[in-house]
Amino acid sequence: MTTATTQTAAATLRVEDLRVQFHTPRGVVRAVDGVSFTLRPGERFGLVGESGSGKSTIALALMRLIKPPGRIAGGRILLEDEDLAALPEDAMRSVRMARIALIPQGAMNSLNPVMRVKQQIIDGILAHERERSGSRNGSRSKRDLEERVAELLESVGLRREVAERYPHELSGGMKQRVCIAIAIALRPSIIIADEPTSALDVVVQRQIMQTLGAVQARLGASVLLIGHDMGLMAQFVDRVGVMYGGKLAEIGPTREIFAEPLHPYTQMLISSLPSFDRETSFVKLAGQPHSPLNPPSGCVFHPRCPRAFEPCPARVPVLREVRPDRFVSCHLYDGAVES
Amino acid sequence: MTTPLLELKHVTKVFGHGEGATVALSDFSFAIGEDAATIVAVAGESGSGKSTLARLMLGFISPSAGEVRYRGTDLRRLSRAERRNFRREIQAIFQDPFGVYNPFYRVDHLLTTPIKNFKLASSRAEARRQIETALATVGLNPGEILGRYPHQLSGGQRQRITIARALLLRPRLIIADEPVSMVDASLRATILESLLTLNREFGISFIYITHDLTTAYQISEQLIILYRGVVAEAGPAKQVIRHPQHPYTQLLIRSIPTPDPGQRWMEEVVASSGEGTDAAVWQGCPFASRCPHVMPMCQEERPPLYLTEGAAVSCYLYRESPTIEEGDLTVTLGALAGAGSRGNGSITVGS
Amino acid sequence: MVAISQPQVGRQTRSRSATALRRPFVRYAIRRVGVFLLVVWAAATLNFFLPRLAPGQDPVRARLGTVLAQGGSVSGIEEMVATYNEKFGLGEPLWLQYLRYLGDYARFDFGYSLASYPARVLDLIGNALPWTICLLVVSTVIAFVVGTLAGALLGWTRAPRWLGHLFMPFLTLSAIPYYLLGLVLIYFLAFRSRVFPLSGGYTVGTEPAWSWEFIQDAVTHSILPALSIVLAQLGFWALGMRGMMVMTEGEDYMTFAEAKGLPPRTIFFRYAIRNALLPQTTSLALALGGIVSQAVLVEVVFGYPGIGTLLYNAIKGFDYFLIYGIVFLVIVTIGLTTLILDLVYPLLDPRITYQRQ
Ligand SMILES: Nc1ncnc2c1ncn2[C@@H]1O[C@H](COP(=O)(O)OP(=O)(O)O)[C@@H](O)[C@H]1O
Ligand SMILES: Nc1ncnc2c1ncn2[C@@H]1O[C@H](COP(=O)(O)OP(=O)(O)O)[C@@H](O)[C@H]1O
Ligand code: SF4
Ligand SMILES: [Mg+2]
Ligand SMILES: [Mg+2]
Repeated sequence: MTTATTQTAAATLRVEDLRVQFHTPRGVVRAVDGVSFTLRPGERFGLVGESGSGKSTIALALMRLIKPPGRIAGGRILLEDEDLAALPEDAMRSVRMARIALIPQGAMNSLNPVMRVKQQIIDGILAHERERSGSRNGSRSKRDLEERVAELLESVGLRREVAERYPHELSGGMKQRVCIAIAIALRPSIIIADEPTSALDVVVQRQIMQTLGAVQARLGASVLLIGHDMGLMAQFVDRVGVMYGGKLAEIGPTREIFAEPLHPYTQMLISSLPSFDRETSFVKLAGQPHSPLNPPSGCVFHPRCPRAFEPCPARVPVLREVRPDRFVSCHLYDGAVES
Repeated sequence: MTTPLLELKHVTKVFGHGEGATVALSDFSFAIGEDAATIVAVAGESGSGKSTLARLMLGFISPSAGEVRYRGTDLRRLSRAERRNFRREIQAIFQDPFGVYNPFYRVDHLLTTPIKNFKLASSRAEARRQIETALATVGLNPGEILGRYPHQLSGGQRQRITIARALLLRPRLIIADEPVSMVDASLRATILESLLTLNREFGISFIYITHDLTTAYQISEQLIILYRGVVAEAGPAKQVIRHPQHPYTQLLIRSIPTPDPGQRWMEEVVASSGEGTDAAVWQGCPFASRCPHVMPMCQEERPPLYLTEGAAVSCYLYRESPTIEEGDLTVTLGALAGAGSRGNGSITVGS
Repeated sequence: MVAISQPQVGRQTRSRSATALRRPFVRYAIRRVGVFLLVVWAAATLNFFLPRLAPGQDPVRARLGTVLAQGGSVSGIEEMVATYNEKFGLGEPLWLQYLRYLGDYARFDFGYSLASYPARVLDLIGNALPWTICLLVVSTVIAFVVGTLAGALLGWTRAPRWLGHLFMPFLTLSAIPYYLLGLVLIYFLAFRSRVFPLSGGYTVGTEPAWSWEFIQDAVTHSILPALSIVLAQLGFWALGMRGMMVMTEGEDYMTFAEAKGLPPRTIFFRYAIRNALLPQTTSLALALGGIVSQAVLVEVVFGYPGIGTLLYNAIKGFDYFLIYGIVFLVIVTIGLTTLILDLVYPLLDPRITYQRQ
C-alpha cells in the first residue's frame, strides 16, 4: 500500500500522522487529526481550507507553539530526520527562526507596538547568536548588526530608515514586509506563512507575495503557505493540500488539482470560486462545517458530500496516492490505488 | 426629478491642517433616490476615503466643503423631527460586529432598544413578533438567538443580528462599511445574501463599502472606484469589473489572483503606492505616479470625469469622450446600465 | 474643484528627526501646563465662592463670630479676625476680595488656622505632609511594584504552578478595605501581642528630629499602617496586572516573539510586561494623585500625624481655612500627577504622540 508517508525521499520536512487536540471544558477538539505531508526542498506548498479546518494549528504545531489546553497528541515532525515533536524545549528554541521561520496569521499585529522595528529584528538575531556562542553579547558589533538590519529591510523592498520606526507608523503592507524580513534574517530552510495577506488589499497582496517569492528563491528555502483563497494558491504554490475538518482531503500539484480535482470537497471548492465571467452572481458552498466537538462518523465530509455512498458514514477513508503525486482521502477512489 | 433621499454636493473632507493635512475625500458629488432600491458598491484600497464617505453620509462628521443633504436639507440644518426621521431612515452596519455589543446585555436588549426609541410597536408581544420576523429574515432562528449573551454567538451571527436590527427600523438606505471583511469566507455568502434579501424584499437601498471587488461584483448594481479620495471610475458593476477603463481599476482587477494558470500574476511589477506623495502630484491625476500610461498632461491638472461607453472615468486616456460637466447630475449610472440590468436607481455621480 | 492650500495626500508622513519631536513636545507641554493651571485656578475660585454663595450668612464669617465670642482664651485671635475682615470685609467689592484671595493662594498663603491659632495653615500642612508622603507614597509604590510583578507572574502561563495558589489570597485581600485590615492588624499585632505600637507616628513625648533613634521609632510606628496599605493594595495591583497579562498573552506579537526563538525571560520582560504595564501606569498615577484623600481613613485609624488626620481634625473643629488649604492641596496633587502622567506617557507608549488632543 502506498501512503502519504512514503511520498519522496528528498524531503526537507516530513510530517507524519500529526495529531493536535484541545481539551476544552465542552470536550476534546481534534483540531488536527492524523495529517501527513512532505515539504520538498525549495518548493512552495499550500494548505488551503475553510476557517477552522486546522491550518493555523498545523503551523503552530510545526513550530511547537501549541499552548494549553492544546497539545501535540501524536505524530512526528521530521526536519532532516530530526523529530521536532520529541525535541526538548531548549533545543526547539534554537530551531525556531533559524531553521523554520513563521510569518504568523494576523501579521497586522505581529510586531510589538512599543519596540522599534530595528530592535525587533536584532533581538531575534542576538538570541540565536548568544545561544550558539554561549556569550552574553554575541559576536557582532552594533554597527554590523545595524548594517545587517538595513540589508534585510532593503531585501524586502523597504527603505533602511524603516528600522527606526515603530509599528504604528507603518502601513499594513510595510508591517508585513518587516515580518518577512524577520523571518528570513537567519536564512531558514523553511518559511511558514499563515494567511500573510488576508488583511491587505489586492494590489499590496500581490506585491507582498512577489517579495516573499523573491526572498524564497534567493534563500532556496521551502515555503508553506496557508490560506483560504484558492486563487492565491493557484498563483503562488507548486503543490497544494486541501484541508477539511482537521484532515487532509487531497494533495497534488496545483495545476492538476485545478484542472481535475479528485476529492468531492475540492470539486466543491473549485466550482464555487467566484468568477467575473459568469453571469450568476452567487455560489455558496452547500452546508455548514460540522461542530469540531462531535465530528461525523466515517468520512468527516460525508454529511455535505454530494457523492457520498455506503462506506462513507461507516469507515474513515485513508489518504492514498491514487495517481502519481496525487493523494486523495475518499472512498470513491478505493479501487483506484496504484501499486 | 424628485428630491433625492440622500445627496452629496461637491463634498470635500480634509483632516488636520497645514503640513499634515490629509484630503480624505475630494469634491465628491453623488445622489441616491428612492424610486427604486439599488445597491451601490464603493470600492478602493485602504485609505482611499471609503469610511470617510460613510461617516459623512451618516452625519457623523461634517464636510470641510460642500453639503450632505437629506431630503433636500443640509444635515447640519435638520430640524429635530427631520433628524429623527434621518436617524431611522438611514441605518449603518459596520465592519466590526463586536463593537456594537455591550457584553453585559443579552442580545434582546440590542433589538428592543430601537423599537422603544422609535415607538415602533404598540405592545410587548408586537415588539417580540417584529424582532422574530427580522431575525428570521436574515436567516437566524429567534429561539436560538434571543436570551443569549454576545460572547455566546459567532461573528457571523452577530453581524446578521446587526442587520436584523437595522431592518427593524424599516430604513430606506443602509450604509454598510466593510460588513463582511471580518467574517469568514464561508459565512460571507450568507451575510451578503441577507443584504440582498433586504434589498429585494423590503426595497432598501445599500451603499456597500468594500475593498473586495469580488463581493462588489456579486451583489451590487453600481460600482464606484475611489482612489485617494477621488472617483477614478463609476458605472454598472459588471461593466466596470469586466471592462475596466481607468488604469487603476485595471490594476485592481489584474491584482486579483485567479485560478487561471495563464494569469502570470506573480510577474507584473507594479509601482508602490508610496507614502507621503508631494503636493505636486496632487495637482494632477492622483494615480499619475503609478500609472503605466502617464502623460505630461496628467501631472498638471486633475482629469475630469469623462463619460465613456458604459462608465464615467476620470482619466485623460478618455479625453475624446464628453466630460460630465460640473453640477450636471442628470447623467445617471442607472441609465448607463442599459436595458439588461434590473436596476434603475437614480444614482448620479458628478465631479 | 475646491481650493485647499497645498494639502498632503494620503497617509501623513511624520519626520523622525529629534528636533521635529522636540518642538511638538514643547508645544504640548505648554498647553498641558496651561490646562493644569486652569484646573488649579478653578479649584481656588471654587474655594473662594462656595462659602460666599451659601444661603444665609457666610459660614466662615459665622465661624469667625463664634471664635471671637469664645476668643478671650487665645491671645491675638481678635487681630487675625480683624485682618480677615479688613481684607475680605463686607465693604469691599467682591472682585477686589477675589483678586486679593488669588494673590494669597498663588503664594500658598492660606491664612491662619482657626482651631490652633496662631499656627499658619501652610505650616500645619508642611508638618503633616512629609508623614503622609513617607507612609502612603512609599507603601503605594511598594504595593505597586510587588503586586504588579506578582500579577505578571500570575498571568504568565509558563510561571511555576505554585504561583497559582496566590490568586485566591489576592482576590480576598483586594476585597477588604484597608482601614478594616488596619483594625484587624492593630488588634492582633499591637493590642494582643504588642509587637508594634498601637497608634501615632512616633512615641508620645519625643520630639521629631533627624536622629537615628527617632527615625527608628518612626519606622516602627509606620510598619502597621504601611502593612495594611500594602496588603490591601497588593491584590488590586496583582489582579489588574494579571488581567492585562492574560490579554497581552493572546496578542499576535507574543506568538511571533516565540516564533523568533526568544528566551522566555526576554519575552516576559520586553514583550509581555512592557505592554501590560501601560494601563497599570495610568492607575498608579491616579492612585498617587488621590493619596491625600485616601490618607484620611488609614491615618485616623492609626492616629498617624499626617494630612489625613489633620483634615479630619479640621473638619471636626470647623477650621475652615485649614479645610480650604487641604482641599486646594488635594486638587493640586491630582492635577500635578495627571500632568506628569500625560508628559511621561508618550515615552512609554510610542503610539501616543504629543501631537494629539
Ligand atoms: N486555543 C484553542 N482552544 C480550543 N480550540 C481551539 C483552539 N485553537 C484552535 N482551536 C480549534 O481548532 C480548530 C482549528 O483551528 P485553526 O487551526 O485556527 O483553523 P484555521 O487556521 O484553519 O482557521 C478549530 O475548530 C478551533 O475551534
Ligand atoms: N479622524 C481622522 N483624522 C485624521 N485623518 C483621518 C481620519 N479619518 C481618516 N483619516 C485619513 O483619511 C484617509 C481616508 O481614510 P478612510 O476614509 O478611513 O479610508 P478607507 O475607509 O477607505 O480605508 C486616510 O488617509 C486616513 O488616514
Ligand atoms: S469519502 Fe465519500 S463522503 Fe467522503 S468525500 Fe469521498 S465520497 Fe464524499
Ligand atoms: Mg487560521
Ligand atoms: Mg475603512
